[in-house]
Amino acid sequence: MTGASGMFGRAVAQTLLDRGDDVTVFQRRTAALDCREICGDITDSAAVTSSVEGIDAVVHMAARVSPIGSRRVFDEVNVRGSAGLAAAALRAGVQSLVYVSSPAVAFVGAPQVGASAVAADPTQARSRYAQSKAKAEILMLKANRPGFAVVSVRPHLVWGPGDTQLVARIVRRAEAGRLRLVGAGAALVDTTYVDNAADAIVAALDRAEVAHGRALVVSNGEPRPVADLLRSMCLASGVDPPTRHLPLGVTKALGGGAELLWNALRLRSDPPMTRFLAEQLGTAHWFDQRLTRKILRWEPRVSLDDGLALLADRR
Amino acid sequence: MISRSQPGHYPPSDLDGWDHTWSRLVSALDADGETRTWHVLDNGVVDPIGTLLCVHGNPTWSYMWRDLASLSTRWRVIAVDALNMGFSERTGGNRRLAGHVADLSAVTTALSIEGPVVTVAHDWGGPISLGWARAHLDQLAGVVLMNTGIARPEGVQIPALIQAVRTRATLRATCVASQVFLRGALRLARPSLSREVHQAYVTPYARPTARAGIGDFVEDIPFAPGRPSFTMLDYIAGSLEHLAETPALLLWGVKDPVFSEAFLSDLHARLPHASVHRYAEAGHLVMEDIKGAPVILDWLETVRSPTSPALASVHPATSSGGGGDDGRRLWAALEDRSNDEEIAVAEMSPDGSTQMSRSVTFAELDQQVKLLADRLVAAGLQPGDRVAPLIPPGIDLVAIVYACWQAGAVVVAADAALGGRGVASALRAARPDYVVADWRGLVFARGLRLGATMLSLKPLPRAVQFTLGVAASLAKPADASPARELGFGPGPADPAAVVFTSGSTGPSKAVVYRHGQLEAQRDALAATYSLSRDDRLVAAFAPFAIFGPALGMSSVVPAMDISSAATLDASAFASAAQAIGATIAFASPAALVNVVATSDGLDKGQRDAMTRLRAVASAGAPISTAALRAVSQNFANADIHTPYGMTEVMPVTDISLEEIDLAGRGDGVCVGRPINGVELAVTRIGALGQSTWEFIGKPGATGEICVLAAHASGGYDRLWAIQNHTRRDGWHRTGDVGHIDRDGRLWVEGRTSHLILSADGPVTPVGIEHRAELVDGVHQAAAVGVGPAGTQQLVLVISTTERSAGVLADPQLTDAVRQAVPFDVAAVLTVRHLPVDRRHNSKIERQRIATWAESVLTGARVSRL
Repeated sequence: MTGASGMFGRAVAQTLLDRGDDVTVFQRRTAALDCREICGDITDSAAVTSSVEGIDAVVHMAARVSPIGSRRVFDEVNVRGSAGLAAAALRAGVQSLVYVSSPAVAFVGAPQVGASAVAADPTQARSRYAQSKAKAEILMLKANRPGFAVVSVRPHLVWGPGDTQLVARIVRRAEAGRLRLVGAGAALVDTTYVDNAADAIVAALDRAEVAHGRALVVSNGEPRPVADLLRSMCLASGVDPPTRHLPLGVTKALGGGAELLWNALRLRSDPPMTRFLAEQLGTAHWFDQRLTRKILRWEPRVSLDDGLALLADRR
Repeated sequence: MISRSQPGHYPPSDLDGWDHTWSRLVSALDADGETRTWHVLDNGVVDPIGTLLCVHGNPTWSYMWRDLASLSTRWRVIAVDALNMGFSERTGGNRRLAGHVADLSAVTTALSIEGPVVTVAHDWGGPISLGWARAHLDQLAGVVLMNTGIARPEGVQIPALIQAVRTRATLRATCVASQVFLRGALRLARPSLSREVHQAYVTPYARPTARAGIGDFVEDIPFAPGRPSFTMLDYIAGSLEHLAETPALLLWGVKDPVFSEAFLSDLHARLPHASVHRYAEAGHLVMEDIKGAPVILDWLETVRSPTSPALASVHPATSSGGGGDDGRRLWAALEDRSNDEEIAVAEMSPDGSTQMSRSVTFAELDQQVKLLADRLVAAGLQPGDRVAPLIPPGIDLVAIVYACWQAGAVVVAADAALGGRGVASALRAARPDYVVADWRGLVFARGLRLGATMLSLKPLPRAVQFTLGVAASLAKPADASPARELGFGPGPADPAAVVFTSGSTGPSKAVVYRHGQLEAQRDALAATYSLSRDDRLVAAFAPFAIFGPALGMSSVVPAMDISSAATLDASAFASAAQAIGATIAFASPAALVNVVATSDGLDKGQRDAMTRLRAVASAGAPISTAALRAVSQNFANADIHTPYGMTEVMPVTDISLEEIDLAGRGDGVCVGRPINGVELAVTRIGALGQSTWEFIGKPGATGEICVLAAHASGGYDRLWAIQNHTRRDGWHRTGDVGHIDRDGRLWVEGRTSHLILSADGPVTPVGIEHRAELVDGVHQAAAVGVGPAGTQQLVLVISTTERSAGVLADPQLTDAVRQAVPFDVAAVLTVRHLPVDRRHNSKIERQRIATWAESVLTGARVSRL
C-alpha cells in the first residue's frame, strides 16, 4: 500500500490489517501502523521496485494533493510515480492493483448530476492536480491485462475524524471567518465517510477479477446542498457555520486570480480560493452509485448523520 | 441539371447514432440496365421474423432509420438510399418515380430479400414503397407510412413554398446550387434537430454535384395530371385497393406545411383499417420528432399475433350486448315522459336574479329533439357523421346532443373549459363533419377551416349566413319531408361521443365513447347516487348536465361563465336549486369552493333550497378534505360525495365525507371503493417507472391503477400508440399510482410521471407530501425527484407559513421535514407558492417543480418557479 500516512490511507491499511491481511506500507514518513513499513519516495524507482517484491496486490494511494503547484511536480509524483509503480508491480508478478483516483478526473466544469463514471479527461480537467490524476488513471487502466487486474476507484470528498484535508480546511476558514457559501449554497454535493471509502478500496481489491479495467466512483450516496454539509461539519467541529454568500461568478474570478498570483510567486501556503474549489463548492457533484455497488458488492456502513456524530465525538 | 456521376460510397464513421457496420454497398442493374451501386443500411439481424424495408424521402437519406436499425432485434432492417440520394451513386441523369420504384425492386432482388416484408416510408418514400409493395404483394406483411401522399386531396393546393421552389428559375438555385431547400426541410423538425443529427443529414449533400437528386425529386412532384410521373402515382394510388387485408400504420406529424392533415385523411380513407396516430405537436420529420422507432416496433408486435391487445381493445367488453342492464337507449327516459309537463331543463337568467330565463318540459324537449333530428338528417347528416355543437350548456345543447344521438351522429364535445386554443385543437383532432352553433360559434369555427358543414342553431339573416358559409339553419322547417325512419337508431357498439381529456397531464386527447358505454355510464351514475325521476339536479358540472334527461330527471343550469368554474357564486347556485326544488347537485371543486366563499349573503329562500339538497358531489378534479368539510357545512342535509375517475372512465370510485374521515391518514388520498360494475387492480411498475401488465394481487402493494368497467370509453381517437399502451383485454391503465387497502379502498399516491425513481426503486409523492405538510411551518409540499431515472434523489419543495430567507429551507425546518419523511431527503427548498394547474386550480405541477429544483440544485442561479 502506498501513501498510508493520511487519514484515508491509515483507514485502508487498518481495515486490511484488522481482517488479517499481511500488509506492507510504503510512504515518505512513517505511518506508525503495526505492520511492515518501507519509507521511500514514489518517484524513487529503486525503492519502489524493491517494495513490490513478493507482493500479491497493490493499493496505490500516494499522490501529491494540493490546490496549487507546478504542473511538473504534479506530473512527477502523480503520473510518473504511478506509472513506475505499475511497471514494477507487473514485473514483480503482482496480480492486482487498485488505483485510488478522484471524480475530479472527469469533471470538466458542467455539474455532475447523478453522473456515471465517464472516462478521465486530462485536457479538460479543471486543476493541475486533477489533470495529473486523469493522466495517471488512463495509464493505470491501460496497464490492465490478464493476470494483472487494475481497478481505479474514485472516492468523492473523503472525510472523517482526523481529516487534515477537507474538514480541517473548512474549520480553519470558518474559525478565521473566511468561509463563504458560493451562490445560494444549494449545489448538491455527495461525500464519502472515511470508513466507507476504506471498505470500498478493500472491496475493489477483493473484486478485482470482476472490476478490472474499470473506473468506479465511490460515495455515500447521500448528496446534500453544500450549505448543509458545511454547516453540519462546522457544527460537528464546534465552530460557527458560514452565513455569508458570494456569487459563483465572483468566486470563480477570485479563485482564478489567486491561482495566478500564487503560482507566479511560487507561494507555498493555500490560496484563499481557487477556480477548482469555487466550482467544487458552487456546482453539483453527485453520482450514480448503482454500478459501483453491484460490481464491488459494497454498501456504505456509516451514514452521513452517523459520520457527523462520530466527527463530533472525536473532537 | 448538373450531370456528373460519382460512385456510391460509405458514410463517414462518426455520424451521431450511426453504426458504420450497417453500411453496405450493393451493385445491381438499374431500370435502364446500367450497373449501379446503392448505399444500403442493413442491421444484419440473423434469422429475422421478416424484413423492414425502409424508404426515405426528399431531401433525407437512410440515416432517418438509424433508431429502428439499432432497436430492432428480431426484424432485419434494410434501408436503401435512392440513386442520386444519400451515399448511393450519382448517375449523372434524372430519375423519376417509376425509376425509383424499379430501383428498389432491383436492390431487394440483389439482396435476395425473402420472407415477409413490412415497408416503412416517409415523404416521397411513401409512393416508392407502395409501388414496391404492389409488385411484391406475396411478400407484403404490412405498410407503415409517415407524412406522405399518393394523391392530391380534393381542395388541397401544393404549398406555395414548393410551388415557388419548383419554377425552372428557382429550382436549381434553391435545391442544387445552394442548400436552401435541404436546410429548410430539416428546419421543419419539431423540436429542432440537435447539431449532430442535423450535420448527419446534410453530410451526403455537401457539394452541389451531390444535390442534383434533391432537385429532381422536387421537379418530379406529380400531383397534377400531365406531370411525367402522374400516371405512375395514379397507378400506385389505385393499387391500394389490394391492401385491404394488409396491416397498416399511419404516423403523422400535424405541423407539416407540405403533407397536411388532408393527406392523412386521404390515406386513411383509402386504408380505413389502418392504425393511426396523429401527433399534434410533431412536424414533417415525424420519425425524428417523436422518436418513432419504438412505436413502429410495438406495432409490429400486433402485426404478428392476431389476438393482439390493440385489436382486442378496439372492441371492448361492451360490444357483446351493450352496457346498460336493459340496453335502454340514451333517450329512452325522455320518451317515457313525452307527455309530461314537468320541467326537463331550465336555464337561469344571467343577470343574477332568482328567475329562470328559459325552460322546457319533458314533452317539449322530446318534440324538439325529434324535430332537430329530422332537420339534421334533412341537412344531409348520415349515421356515424361527427357533429360539434358549439353551444353553451343549457336547453339548446341538451336538445342538439339527444337529436344527434337519435340520428346516429357522433357528438364532438369540445368543452369550452378547454379554452379557445384547446377547443380549436380538439376540433382539429376530431374533424367534425358538421358544426352546429350560434353566430359566435360559427365565426370561431369558420376561422379554423375545419371543412365541416356549418349549421346555425337559430335563423340568421341571409347575408350573415352567406358570409359565415352556413349551409342551413336548424330553426327553419326542412324543405323536404323527414327522411328519418322511426325505429331507426344507433346500436350499443356505435360511437356516440368524442370527449377530450383536460390536457393537464399532457396534450389533450380525444376519447371515443360508444352508445353502450354511455348507457352504462348513465346507469352507473344512477346506481351510485340512487338517482330516480323524483330527483332534480343542479348541473354545474358540464359532462353530467347532459345526463339529466337520460336519467329522467329535471335539471337546471345555474348562471355562470362555463369556461371558468370559479365564477359560480352561492347566490346563482342557490337560486338555481330553488327554481326547480333541487335534490342533487354536481359541481366542480373550484365552483363549490367559490359557493362556500360567497355564501354569506344568501336569503332565507336560498338557504332553504340549499338545505333541501340530499346529495352534493364534487366532480372533475381532486378536492381537499378541508374544502369538502367546508362544503358540508353549507348543506345541512346533504351527503357530500366525491367520485374518482378520469375522462376515459368516470366514475371509478366514490367516497363520502364520512368515509374519508373513517379512512384517516395513509399513504395517498383515499378515493373510496369501486362503484358497482367496476373492477380495480394495480400493476407492477418497473425500477425506471415503466408500466407493465403484471397485476399485483397483494393488498397494500403500490402499482399503477387499472380499471375494467362497462362504462369505460372505447378508446382514443387516432392515437394508436396511446391506445396500445393504455388498453389490454378491456382494462384501462389510468396513469395514476396507488394501492388498494385491506378494506378494498383505493388510495391514490400520484401519477406515474411523478414517481421519484430512486436507486432503491420508485417512490410515490403524495404520502410524503402529506407527512411533510404536518410539520410546523410547512404550508404545502411537493415531493419530486432530481437526477437521472433510477438514481434520483428525493427533494421536497415547500411553501412555508412564514417567509423564508433563501431558497434553502432553514436548518431547523429542514431537519423537521427529514424527520417526518421515511425516505432520505437530499434537500428541502422553499418557494412562495407551489404552482398548480390553471384548469382545476388544485393539481400541483410536480414536473415543472422538479425541473426547477434540479436547476437550483446544480448550483445554477436561482430562477423564479
